[in-house]
Amino acid sequence: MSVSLVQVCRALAIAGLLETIRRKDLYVVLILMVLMVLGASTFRAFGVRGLEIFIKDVAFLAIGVLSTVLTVLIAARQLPEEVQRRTIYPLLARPITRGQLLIGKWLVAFLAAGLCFLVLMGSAWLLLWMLGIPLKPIFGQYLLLKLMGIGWLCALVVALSVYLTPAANITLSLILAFGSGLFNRLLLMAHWERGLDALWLNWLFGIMPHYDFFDMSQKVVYDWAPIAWWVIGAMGIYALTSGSLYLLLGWLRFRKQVLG
Amino acid sequence: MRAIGLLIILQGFIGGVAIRYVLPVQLQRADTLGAHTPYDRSAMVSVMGEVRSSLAGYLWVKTDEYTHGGVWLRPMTEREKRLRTAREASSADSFDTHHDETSVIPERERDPRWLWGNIERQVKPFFDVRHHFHRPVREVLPLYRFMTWADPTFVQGYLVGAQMILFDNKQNLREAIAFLKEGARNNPRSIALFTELGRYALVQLGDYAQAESYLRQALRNGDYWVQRGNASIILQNPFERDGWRDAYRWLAILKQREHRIDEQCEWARRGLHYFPDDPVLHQFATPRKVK
Repeated sequence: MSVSLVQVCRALAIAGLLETIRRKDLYVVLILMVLMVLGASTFRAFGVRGLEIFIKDVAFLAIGVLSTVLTVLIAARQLPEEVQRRTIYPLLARPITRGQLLIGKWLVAFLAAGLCFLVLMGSAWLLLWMLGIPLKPIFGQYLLLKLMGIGWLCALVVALSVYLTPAANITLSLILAFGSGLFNRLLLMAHWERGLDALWLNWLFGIMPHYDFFDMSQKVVYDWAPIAWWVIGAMGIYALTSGSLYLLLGWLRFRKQVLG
Repeated sequence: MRAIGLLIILQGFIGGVAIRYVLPVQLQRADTLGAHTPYDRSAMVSVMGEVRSSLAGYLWVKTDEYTHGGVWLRPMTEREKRLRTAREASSADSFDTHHDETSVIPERERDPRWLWGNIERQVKPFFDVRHHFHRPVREVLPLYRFMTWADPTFVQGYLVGAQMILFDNKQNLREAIAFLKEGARNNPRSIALFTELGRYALVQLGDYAQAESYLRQALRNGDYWVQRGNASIILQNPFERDGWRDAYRWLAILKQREHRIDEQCEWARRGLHYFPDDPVLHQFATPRKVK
């Protein structure tokens, strides 16, 4: 008896979200929210007149860093914990293929991390609103692009979790996520200063991760106008193709991996 | 995850105790460059001192980004300077602060990345750096207030902050001088702050007596550091070094305006003792060349 991918994903997503609540992942988010509220209260005490950009900058920087770290931590533990706790055996004893399990785990990680990000961003938006700091329409595009980025990052981390130990996976994923902007700059400097060929540059650019391109926070902070929608579409295609490729690479290893 | 939560609570508790323990010491006024003295009383105080200096330093870096609406600029490489391949940043308003700078994100004509470049120019703040406008200085002023509040020994915050207050509105001279005086109160051994106060008194107020008083105080502070054997530290700090040199320059100018040529030459010669290569001081030391 075969089970459809949708059924598997739905079942795993519900189980994964329940697990997220059971493991009290959201407690971390709540603690961070409390810290943000305390920080905002400090600003209220001193007055925010003229400091609007600074407060927005700090809020978006904090949420960008925290959501990335939470995404990596949530996605990195999905498969290894199932193996460690030996719960992967009863899972695979059901009519579920390893490919379906991998996609299901990606979906669980994406939903949990996306939820954490939305809760954090929602509370930050509320605090900014209470301080009388409005956000411009570009904020909607920021949310959309950031959610795409979280989905892309989950695919990368879940795929890497098949190849690496959890500690190595978390370390490498954080380096790739936070260092992506720097790698891109280095490639450009190599082109200008060392004569790296444009074709090579573009080829390397295609391979390198571009997590920083999913972050429009600086444009939101400085109240820029919304960007062209083709950019959101292009980044959506990049997230889909690149994320699918990562999961495919993960599956190629996972399908023949000896578990335990 | 539970462990991370507990860790954050624990860190918050330790941080609270640290602030409680450290605050009385932190509120003491520190001498410029001698600011390490109160920090060194205990390791915990030292750590908190680092935190507030780091905050001030972070805000200092941010001010440039704020005036450009988030657009990042970088110094041009030697190759770019030589070949002029990158667009050089220049101001379209009177806020002229750019020398051999270009944007971190390249312009379309110079970008070999095709689609990737177009995407980056859309998702990150970007504009043509040639003849660009700046955001109102008024938006940056609170940052100078905030950074000097976070670290009252952050001398450059007072120096540039006062300039920005005056740049925002020429009528704000009193506020700019008050800001500098606050800096001088918090940093009674600073050379640069007293030189700047002297310059404002001379150029903006035309009060020669007050200007001389401030400039002489700046030089006394310089002597203080020399006597303590810390002249090399002062010379490594660009703000204090320039302030020290400018104190001699402004005193020579002041004496020239008062037509006291002998004193003008004397101050210039004293300055040359510490800054032997300074062309301005050389000119003032030989009065016939000065027009």
